[in-house]
Amino acid sequence: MITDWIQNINYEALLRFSIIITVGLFVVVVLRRYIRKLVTEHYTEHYGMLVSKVIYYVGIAIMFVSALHELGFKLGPLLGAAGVVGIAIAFAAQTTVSNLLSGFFLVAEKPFEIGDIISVNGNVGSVLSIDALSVKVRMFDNRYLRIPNETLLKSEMINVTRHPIRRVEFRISVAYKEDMDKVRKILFEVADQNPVALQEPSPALIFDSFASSSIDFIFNVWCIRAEFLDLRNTLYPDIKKRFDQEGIEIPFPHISIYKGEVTEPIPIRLTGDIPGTEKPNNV
Amino acid sequence: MKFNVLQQWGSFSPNSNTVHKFVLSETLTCFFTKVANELWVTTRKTSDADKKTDKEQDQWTPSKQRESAKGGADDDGHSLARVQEIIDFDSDLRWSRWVLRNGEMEIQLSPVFPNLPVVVKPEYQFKLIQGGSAEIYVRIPVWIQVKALSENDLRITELPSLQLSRTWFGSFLDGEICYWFKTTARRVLDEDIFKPHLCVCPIKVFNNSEEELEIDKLCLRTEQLSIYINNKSLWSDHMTIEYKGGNNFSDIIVSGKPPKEAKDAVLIGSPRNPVRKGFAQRTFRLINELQAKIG
Repeated sequence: MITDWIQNINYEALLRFSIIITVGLFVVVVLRRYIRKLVTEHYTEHYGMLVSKVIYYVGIAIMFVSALHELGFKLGPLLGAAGVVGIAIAFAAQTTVSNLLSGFFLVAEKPFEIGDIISVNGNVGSVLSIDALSVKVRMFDNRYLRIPNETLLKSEMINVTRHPIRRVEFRISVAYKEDMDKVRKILFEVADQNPVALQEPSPALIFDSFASSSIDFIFNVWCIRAEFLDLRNTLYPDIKKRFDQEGIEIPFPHISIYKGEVTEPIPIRLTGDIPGTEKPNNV
Repeated sequence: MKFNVLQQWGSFSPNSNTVHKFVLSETLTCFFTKVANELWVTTRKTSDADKKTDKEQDQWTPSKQRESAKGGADDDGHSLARVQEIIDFDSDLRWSRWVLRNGEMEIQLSPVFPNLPVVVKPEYQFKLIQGGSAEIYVRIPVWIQVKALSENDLRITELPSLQLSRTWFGSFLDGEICYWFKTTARRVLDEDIFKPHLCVCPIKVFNNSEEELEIDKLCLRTEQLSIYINNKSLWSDHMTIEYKGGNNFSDIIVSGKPPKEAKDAVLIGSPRNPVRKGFAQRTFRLINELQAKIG
């Protein structure tokens, strides 16, 4: 039967099939690359990738249908069979279909774009690509994270870089003896002199609590999103340096021990020479 | 190695055995030198330079240079000894190098406004009553634009005279990053207003609204302003701001010529992003209408 099929091969049709596949593939790849570059330049990388993928898959489909047509395949029954097979596959591969549909919703909702930094279930990284079944993320330790679209759609996701500016929260503790107005003045001066901190939205100092060993504040300062780490890494040292200059104490935990009566100190009796206070022999 | 002090804005031809020094003000000193076809540039805050002044004489010949120079420089001056000589000049300086096509260089230094809009905050805010107007003078720090005239006016770098802090101007969802500069927003021109690194921007504000205008800060789109020089003092175009109140945008009119206070001033720095001059604008004597907000 195979020999019969080989003998009946229309070599002219086979040549046309090969030409369509070769030229079509070349055209689709070149067109995809060109359109992606064009759309990325005029819009965003996200749209560039989406349009290029649509062009690629539609182009490949058209090319194969045309090529098969040249070989004499009837497309009507083929598409009908594909529909039936498609339903069967959809039942068998529910997860895949779910991811596929979730992918459509993600594209429509556009909660992030390529290059955005997102946080999903504690994993933080930069979005590399948004594909039909999953989103690929490069984590900051250079691990490669693949998040199924369905998971992404169900989970709480934070887009860290959606807005151009970010607020950085600094937790500051000072000793009880310190003048709070002076602390406030110093903190605002330090933020004012830091080149990374934005002047507006202006920094805000929020009283947090009278803690066991310190008065705690939250100091909120704004920066450009790309300079988030720069601000964290410069403002804390600036504050420490300035507190040291001004004699502001950053306290460590204090523990007071009482023997029973409130505020009465524990009596201490010295039973011998205090180490380190011995008189030199030659004096 | 010789030492050459550049006295004013303009062009110069660096040569291999000279360090060219340009002191803009008390804020910034720039150094330029040439190694073969490389232009070497560095800056120093002038306040840091006080302790270095003994080195910066007309003639500077460190001992290391004399020793290392025994090996001899090659024809174009690109030798280890030459590089060592520059490093020895001041080891604290961090030089940047540009390799140019031509060994014969002509470098131009010109003032240019910062690369972002500048939000100017008057130290003491003032209010303008309905129908009132006021002329104010604000000062904006300029940057030094370094161009290679010998390379088809190639822009090499820009050196800020002051490190300005930045601010966000607008709402959280719709705004832009700007530089931030506090000014006294003077009403009269005193002699001490002029500094070599500060460009004086005369602004006339009209309050054509039905409400009192409280001027807390101004966002100046300096990218569309020219810089003029008059007796070593820098001026921008004269600006007229018309506040209309409510949600109406305010009109800013940039004159496109030196202000009346400095009529003889000559253009020294072109706008970064000149407004395209259409027929209508030419008809109205090069008056460019822009939109801006008053915070």
